[in-house]
Amino acid sequence: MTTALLQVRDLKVHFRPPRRGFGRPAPAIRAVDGVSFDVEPGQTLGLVGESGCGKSTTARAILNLTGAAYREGEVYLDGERIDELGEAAMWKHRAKVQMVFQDPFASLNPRMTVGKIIREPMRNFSVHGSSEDQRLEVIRLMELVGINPRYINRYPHEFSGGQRQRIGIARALAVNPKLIVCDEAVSALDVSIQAQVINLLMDLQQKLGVAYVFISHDLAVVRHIAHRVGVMYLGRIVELADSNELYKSPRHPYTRALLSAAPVPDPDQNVSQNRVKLEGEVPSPDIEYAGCPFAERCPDVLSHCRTTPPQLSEEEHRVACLLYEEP
Amino acid sequence: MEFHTDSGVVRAVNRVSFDLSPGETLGIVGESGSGKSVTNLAVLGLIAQPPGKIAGGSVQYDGQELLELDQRQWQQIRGKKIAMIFQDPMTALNPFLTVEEQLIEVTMLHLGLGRTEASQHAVQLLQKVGIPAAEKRIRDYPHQFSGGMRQRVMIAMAISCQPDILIADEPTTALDVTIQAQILELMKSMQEEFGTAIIFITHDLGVVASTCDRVMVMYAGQKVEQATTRELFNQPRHPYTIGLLNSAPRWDQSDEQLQAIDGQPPDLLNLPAGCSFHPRCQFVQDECLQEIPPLVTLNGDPPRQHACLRDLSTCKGGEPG
Repeated sequence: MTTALLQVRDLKVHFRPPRRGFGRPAPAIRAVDGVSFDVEPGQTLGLVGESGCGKSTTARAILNLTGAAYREGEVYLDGERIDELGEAAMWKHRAKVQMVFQDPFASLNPRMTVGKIIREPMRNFSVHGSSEDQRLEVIRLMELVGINPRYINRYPHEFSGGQRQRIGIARALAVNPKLIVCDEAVSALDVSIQAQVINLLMDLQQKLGVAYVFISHDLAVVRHIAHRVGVMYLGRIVELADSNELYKSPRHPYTRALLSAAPVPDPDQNVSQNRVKLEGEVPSPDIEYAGCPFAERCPDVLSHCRTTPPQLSEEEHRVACLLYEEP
Repeated sequence: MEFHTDSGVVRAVNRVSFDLSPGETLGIVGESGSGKSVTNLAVLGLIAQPPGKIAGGSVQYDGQELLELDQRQWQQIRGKKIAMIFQDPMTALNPFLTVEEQLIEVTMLHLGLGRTEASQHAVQLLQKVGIPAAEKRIRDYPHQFSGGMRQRVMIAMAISCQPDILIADEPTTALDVTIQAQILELMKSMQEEFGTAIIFITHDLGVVASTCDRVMVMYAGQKVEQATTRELFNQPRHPYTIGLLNSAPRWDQSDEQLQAIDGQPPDLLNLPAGCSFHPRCQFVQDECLQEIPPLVTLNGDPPRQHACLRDLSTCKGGEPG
């Protein structure tokens, strides 16, 4: 066994929409369609892509939270397979993987005080011993994330968005998880506050050695926080490489188009003419593709792209594109 | 611009002045609650009074004072001379009407076109903004379009009377980057074709850098800096602008630590004395706590402005020189 903290192998999640009337059943939504990656202890894997690419569903599938959806593939946490576990058996693993959500307004119970919110996971998993120990631990966590412990009896609405996100992070840390899944955790915040929370997440990783799966549509944020980055398109990872490498020399045509569409806060940079332009929009994920799902929009499409499915290559810099495959 | 709320009076916009020349793009940048949207709703006469109250000031368009207009006179301006694109095209379009009905309403009212004429005009507009099979799609309802396509419909509606001024309030914030790139390009080509002046409200510095000629930065309802885009990004003079530029991560550079602006966003009900930014400012001095910094105008073409008691002209993100 390798040392990877989290291993995901050929994960698929398909949602079947409800049948309408008497017609044939609607085709399944192939939200995640064959995704594999590893997360090393204490490292950050970023997942980027546009809406509907399956990044959030991937996050939920890691945590066994996709409900009744059809699921295939294997997920290993600390070398133990967890994707087949039922709710009761999954429970003991839940403390190892926690989540930070996008919306700091919706993800904190408005009727619980900050102290109770951070303490709830400790109670659920019976960690940090007695009630008094738990209270001290709550105070330590509040200090750790930069919330004044004097506010322990305040309610979420008394805090700003950035502070609430800090409370959400403290709650995730309450049971000493090895992995935190952050789903668009800084997207709702203003730039100046976003930078504070990113710095906090990076500090915490240094201090506690926690690993992150960091999901975002924001390419700049992901470059900043992630060690390794996976680019998703229509439920698949099309490119996976070390952060610097991916941003410096993107290989997949979709990654290149995505990067060249992202504006840079520098008026002298944006005049560059070598833009890869993408026409049209991301197609519906209910189609099963014989070849590469990006072929329809790809500026570098080859004749056999529509018939031959590309495989994610087995190098450090992994890419799923026929341009780089030996014929 | 004040709002009277149960908890007190909120000065959402406080003594903000700016001007806009034909064909130029002015960016208005600021974080949530900085007053950038309210400023422009006031320009369009769209502030509900009460609770809102325009406590003073003047808005002139083509020599005409807009704040004194009655509802009838406003209708001659709004939609025809000054049009708006909103952030969320799903809530800005009427879900009960087809796109055609919404598009022809504008031109029939303002340009006096007949129904068939207006309908043909609407199809042309949809083609112009890049909606495929426009003759067919025009009979669809807004929910049948994707987010990017809906924003194209909004743009078609806004440009249908060839307005002189287009106010775009976060028009691409809800869109994915590749779609955002398409929409920004569309707006640019529409501007070149019709010579429209655009006020571009956004919090995204990348979008500002790639689209705007000049930028105004707002904080806590006040204008803190205004300069050409190049000047602002290369030599920011207000500590808030400096902080904003340093805290934005970039995908094309690997910088180790982001320099966040400390502290929390301002509480408009309870603004600090002196400079509103002083509790978060890295260059704060004693006088900043008492004195409200005046807006200083520097000579130049166009002149640039900033509201800070310190001279940060020689500083580049570090200590002032």
